[in-house]
Amino acid sequence: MTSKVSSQMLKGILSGCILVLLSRETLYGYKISTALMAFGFDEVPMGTIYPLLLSLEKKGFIQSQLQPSENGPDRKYYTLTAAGKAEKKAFIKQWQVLSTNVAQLIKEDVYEDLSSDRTK
Amino acid sequence: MKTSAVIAQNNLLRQQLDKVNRRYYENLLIYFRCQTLFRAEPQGEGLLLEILQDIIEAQKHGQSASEYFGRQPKAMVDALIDEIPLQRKSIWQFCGLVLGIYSLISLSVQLLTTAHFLDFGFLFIETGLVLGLCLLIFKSIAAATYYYQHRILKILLSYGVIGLCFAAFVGFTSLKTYLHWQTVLSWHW
Repeated sequence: MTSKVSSQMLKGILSGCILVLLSRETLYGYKISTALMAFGFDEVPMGTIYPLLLSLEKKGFIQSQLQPSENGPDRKYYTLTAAGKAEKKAFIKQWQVLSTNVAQLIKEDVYEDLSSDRTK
Repeated sequence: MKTSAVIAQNNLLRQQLDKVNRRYYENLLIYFRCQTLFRAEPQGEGLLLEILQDIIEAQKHGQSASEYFGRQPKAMVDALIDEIPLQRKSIWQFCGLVLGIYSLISLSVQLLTTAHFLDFGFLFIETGLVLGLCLLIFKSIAAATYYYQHRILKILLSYGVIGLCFAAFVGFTSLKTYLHWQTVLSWHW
């Protein structure tokens, strides 16, 4: 199991990803998880996204609406709110800064690891 | 949509799950409901239905419930429960229900057995006890759901706790004379 720190980190990142996905189209739970899986989050148990959706809804970043489904009862579709759009922008900006910094920081480590592997 | 309608839909839809997925989902359901006695029911039931619909869709795509939702469902559900708001109203409703039923039973017993006086102190103490035991039973069922994989052990633990609670309740009732005396004393004081 992932450590507490990395699971907290993952939650933040997944929340941001959900906002990005919902800014493109209206989705329900299963579709959000398949979209996340398609982007490589296939190791993440999708039970993780439901608390995130609840929390995003509570914060007013997304809103849900019941819509009729082809078979069975209505399904809960999520859409981004105006506050959610702003939050999405903030997430993207924050992520870009973070990923550049972290990539820069670990570049030397990766290089060292690679060269030590070669000498083995 | 009314909560009862959502629950009815859940009962109906659950039949679409295969044996393994059904066991997985029903464990989740029992654990969730036992742990959310005092939380917003409409929100909780809506969420349970939403997860069920998604698990059914995953099943249709050849993915099992544990592959989809996670191999450690307890941790997932605990995170979920934290997001559902506590509802004070349901706490009072639960207390009221227990107090109501208990007073009714003890009052009718006292009327039938030509009782001497009403013992309100004892009524409240016993209501508290019944309340505590009820909560203990729900917590034990929730714990048993994920603690034991074996079904018989789960049932044994649940019934064991219910039996113990009953024994504690009966045992406590035999203290009646002493508490009676105490209440009467404080009454006259």
